[in-house]
Amino acid sequence: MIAALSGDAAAYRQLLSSSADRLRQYFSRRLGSGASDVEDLVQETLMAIHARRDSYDRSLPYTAWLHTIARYKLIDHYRRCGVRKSVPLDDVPELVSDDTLGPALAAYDVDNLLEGLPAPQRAAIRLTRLDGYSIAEASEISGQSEAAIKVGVHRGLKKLLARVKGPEQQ
Amino acid sequence: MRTDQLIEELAQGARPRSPAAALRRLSGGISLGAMVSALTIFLMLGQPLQAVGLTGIPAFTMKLLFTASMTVMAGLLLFASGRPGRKVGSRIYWLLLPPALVAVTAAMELAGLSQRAQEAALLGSTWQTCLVGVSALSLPVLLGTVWGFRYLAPTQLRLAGSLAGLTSGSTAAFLYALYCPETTATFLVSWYTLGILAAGVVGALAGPRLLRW
Repeated sequence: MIAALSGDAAAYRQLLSSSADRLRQYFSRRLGSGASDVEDLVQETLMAIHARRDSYDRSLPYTAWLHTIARYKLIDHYRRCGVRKSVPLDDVPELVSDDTLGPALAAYDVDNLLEGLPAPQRAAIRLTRLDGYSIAEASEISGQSEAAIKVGVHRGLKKLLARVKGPEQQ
Repeated sequence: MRTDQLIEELAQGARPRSPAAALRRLSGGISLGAMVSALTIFLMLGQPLQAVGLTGIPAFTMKLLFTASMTVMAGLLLFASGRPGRKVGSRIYWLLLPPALVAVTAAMELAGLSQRAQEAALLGSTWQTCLVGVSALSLPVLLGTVWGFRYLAPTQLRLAGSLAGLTSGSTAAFLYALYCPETTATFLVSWYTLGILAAGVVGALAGPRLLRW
């Protein structure tokens, strides 16, 4: 998003299309997949993202911003269509908070973070921490020595932690 | 239109954006509205600061500090309410701090006064002007604020509307304080606060309509 806001059209395109996938998943989960308004809502939300992109606070995760906007657009949609007219606004966040978007978005953030690491460290973390292999198995799969895996995990996590903490401390 | 076409079109619109753009536009909108209000009160009451001679510097400073701190706090909360992912939450209680401080001063002021003197401290000679002035002057500021808000993305419209109203009311109160001849903290905490609250109510009522996107 930050690259997109600096005027990088390719980064922006990529961001929008991955956002579109996530939005489609989010809306179809709530409106029933294949519902005709899902795609309309996705497009409307994309246009809203574009028009209001200055409202993104660069010190926060992009996904938090996207998720809040998606929820707003969904509530707006309910209100417009008169569906669930009687649902008080305050209940809606609870209704939609236990969803599949959360894990998907978390995975997205993790992917983004991992991309900033050198490939050996990335592989070491992915294999041992995300895919659940032992150090020995990870060493066999990746072709790195066991010591290299351990060091890679340690250094990589340290780097990730620094990156996650970085913007908040400023 | 197909979604990927839309994405392609939007991506062509990628331009470098300054991180401060949203804040600049909001404060620009508020300032623009404030200028209209300042001009209005200038045309009606003339030169500002004439009353400072009557009130003395301390009372005048108290009014300026009160209204300025309210403006800044309400403005910052308003800004937060327009950024998805940021939460206003319990920070809204910040806004109680300036009135509470002035209320304490007012209590000390009233203690030991006769009932008649207490009434005089409360009503002054201009409470109606103050109330009408602050609420009326807040309207141009509110319009400017809403205009400046259009690139932000409020997701709780009632809350954002209230904060927009409180920001405009406080700004209007600041402008009015440049003319106000009253000297007591009791007057300040009653009528200024009431005028600001009135603007907040207008904002809360209009918010869902004006700030929808």
